[in-house]
Amino acid sequence: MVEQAHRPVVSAPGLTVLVADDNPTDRMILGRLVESLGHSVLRAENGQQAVDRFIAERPDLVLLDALMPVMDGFEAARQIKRSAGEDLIPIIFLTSLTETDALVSCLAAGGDDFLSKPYNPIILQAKIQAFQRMQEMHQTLQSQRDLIASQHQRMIRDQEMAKIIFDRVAHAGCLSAGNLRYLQSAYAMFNGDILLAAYKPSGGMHLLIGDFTGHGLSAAIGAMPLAEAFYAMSARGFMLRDIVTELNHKLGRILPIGIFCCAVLVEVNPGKGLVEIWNGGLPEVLILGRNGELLHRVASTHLPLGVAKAARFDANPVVLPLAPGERLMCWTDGIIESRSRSGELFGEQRVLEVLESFRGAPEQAFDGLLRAIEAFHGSPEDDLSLLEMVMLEPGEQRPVPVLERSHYQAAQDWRLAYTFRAASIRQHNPLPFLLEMLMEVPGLRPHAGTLFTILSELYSNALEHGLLGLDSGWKRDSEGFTYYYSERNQRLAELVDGWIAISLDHCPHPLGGRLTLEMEDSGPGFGPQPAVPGEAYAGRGLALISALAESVRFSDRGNRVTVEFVWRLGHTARHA
Amino acid sequence: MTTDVPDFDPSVQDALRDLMQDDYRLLVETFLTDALRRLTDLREALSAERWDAFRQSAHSFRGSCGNMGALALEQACCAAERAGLEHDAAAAECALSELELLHARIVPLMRSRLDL
Repeated sequence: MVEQAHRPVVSAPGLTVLVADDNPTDRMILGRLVESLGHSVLRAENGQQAVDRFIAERPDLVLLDALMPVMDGFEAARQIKRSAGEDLIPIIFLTSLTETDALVSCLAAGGDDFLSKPYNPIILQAKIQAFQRMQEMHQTLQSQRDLIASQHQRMIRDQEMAKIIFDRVAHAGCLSAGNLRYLQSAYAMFNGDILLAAYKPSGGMHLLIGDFTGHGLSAAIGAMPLAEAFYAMSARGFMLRDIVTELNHKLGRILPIGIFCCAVLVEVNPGKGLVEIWNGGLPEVLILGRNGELLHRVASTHLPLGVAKAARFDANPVVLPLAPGERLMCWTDGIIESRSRSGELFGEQRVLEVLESFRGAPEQAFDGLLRAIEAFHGSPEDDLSLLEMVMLEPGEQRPVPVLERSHYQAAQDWRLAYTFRAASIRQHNPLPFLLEMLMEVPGLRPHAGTLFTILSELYSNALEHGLLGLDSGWKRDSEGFTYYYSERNQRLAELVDGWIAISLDHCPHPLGGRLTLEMEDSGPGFGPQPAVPGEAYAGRGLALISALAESVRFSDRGNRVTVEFVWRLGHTARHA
Repeated sequence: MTTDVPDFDPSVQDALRDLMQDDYRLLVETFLTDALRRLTDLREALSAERWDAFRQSAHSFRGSCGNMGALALEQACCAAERAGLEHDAAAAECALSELELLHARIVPLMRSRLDL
C-alpha cells in the first residue's frame, strides 16, 4: 500500500540511500518513495553494482533486495559491511521472503532490518528515521571515543613526563643508603605514596614516608613541594620539628581542602643513639630490637600534614633511644589494609604475628612481611610502601659535605655575636642560620657536618642544661628518655627569662683558618664534667665535641664554653 | 486456481500516480514490459526444469505485482513460487497458465488507466 506517499515528512537532513533491486518496477517505486522522504537515491540492479556504488559513493543507508542476479543480496551485504569498517551503515533487506531460513541468512550476512513488499511508506519512513538516529548516536559515540582515546594518550604522555620529574624530586636523596630498605609498589603510575631520605649535614638522616589522599597527578603535585622543602631544610641543618612545621604549613597553604598527607617523619641520630619520630596519620611505627623483639610502637598522635593550622599544630616528635643494630619499620596503610580475595583485611595483628615469627632473624622480617602480604592478597597489585631503617654505629655514617655554591669573594676575617632571648629561643632554632653564615667561608664548607654537630651540641647543652635545667642522668633508660623530652618541651614552652649568646670568630691564615665558637647561657652553670665515654647518653655530646675540635674550654661556672676548630687547605677529609 | 481476488487495486494505482507524477506512465510501461519478460523467463525455466530460476523469477515478479496492486497476479506468482520450490511441474504449469491468462487481462486494463 502506498497511500500517503505524496506527503513527504522530512525532519533530519537527507541521507544518501542506495537502493539495489533487480526488478525495475520495484526499484522505481522504492527510489521515488525514498526521494519523497527527502533523501537522495543511488540505484543498483544487482549485488555487484550495489557493492561498486557503495565503495564509490559511500551512501548512509542501504536497501538491498535479497535475490538478485550476478551477485545476490547476501554476498553484497557482507562486502558492504566489510567495506564500511567502523562506520555504522545500516542494511535493510527488501524481501517478500517468508521462510525463516532466508531471513536468518539476511541477518547472518549483516542485515539490520527487513522491509517487505509491497512497500508501506510509513514503515519505510519509520525505519529510515530510526537508523538515522542510531547512526547519529554511533557517530557521536565514535567521535567521543576517539576524543577520549586521544586525551587518554595525552594524559599518559603527561603522566610519564611528570613521573620522570617526580622521581627525580621524590626519590632523590639517600634512599639507597646501606642501612635502609624500602619497597614502593605502585598500582597506578602515581599512587600518592612518597618516600624521602636525606643525610643530615651533621650525620644521621631524615626520613619521610607519606601517603597523599587521592591518586594520580593531584597526589604527585602535592609531593613535589613536600620533597623540595624536606630536602632543602634537611640539608640546611633544620631539626625534625622545624621540618614538620614547615611541611605542614606549606601543604596547608597549597593543598585544597580534603587533600592532605599522612606521614611519618624520622630523624636518625646515630651519634647520640636516638631517633625522633613524628607520626601524623600513618600506622604505628615499630621499633625492633637486635633479635627482632618488639621494643616500641609509635602510634599516630598528630593530624596529617596539611590539615591543622599553625596554632593548633603539634610538631613535637617522640624521642626514643635506638642502639646500633636495632631497627625501625614503618609503612603506609596499604600494608594494614591489604585485602584477601574474600575482602578480609590483613590488619595490624597479622603484621605483629609475622614480625614475631622472625624473632632471632630480624633481617628477614622485611621480606617475610612482603611475602605474607602477597600470599594473603593473592596478587601484588595493591599500593604498598614500606621502609626499614637499621641503626648504625655512631661513627659508621659519614656526614656529607654540603653542596658547593657559587664562588665569590666572601669575607674571611670576621667576628659576629648574637644573643637570643627567651621569646626567640621558644620559637626559633638559630642553628641553620648560623651554619649558613659559616658556609660563607669556602674553607669551612667541607666541614659543614662537623661544624653543625659542634654547634648543635653546644646549643642543646646551653638550652637543655643551662636554661631548662634538665638532667642528662634521666636519659639512662627509655622511660627516662620519654620523661626528659616531654619535660624539655614543656619547660621550653614556659620559658620567659634567660638568653643564649653565641659568637663566631673566624681568622684566616695562609694555610687555612681558625674558627672560635663561644656559647654562653644565662643559666646557673654546672661543673665542667669530664666526659666519660660509654656512660649512657649523658655527656656523650661533649666527648664528641672534644674529638672533633682542636680545644674545648669551659668557664669557671661552666655556663660558657669556647671551642676552637682549625681547618687546613687541601685537607678536607680530616674527620671521618 | 482461485480467482476470487480482483485483478488490481485501484487505490494503489491512485497512490502510485500521486507518487510518480509524470513518471507514472513510465512506471506502468516498465511494469508491463517486465511482466512480459517474466512470463517468457518462467516458460523457458519450466521447459528446462531449472527450478531455482523458475522460483526466483516468480518471487521477483510477485514483488512488483504487490507493489503495483496487481492482486490476482501476485497470488498466482505465489503459487508459482511454491511450485518452483517443490519442483512440482504440474502445479508450476498450472500457475504459469494462470499468470498468462491474468496478464492478458490486465494489460488492457492498465493501458486504459494511462489514458484517463
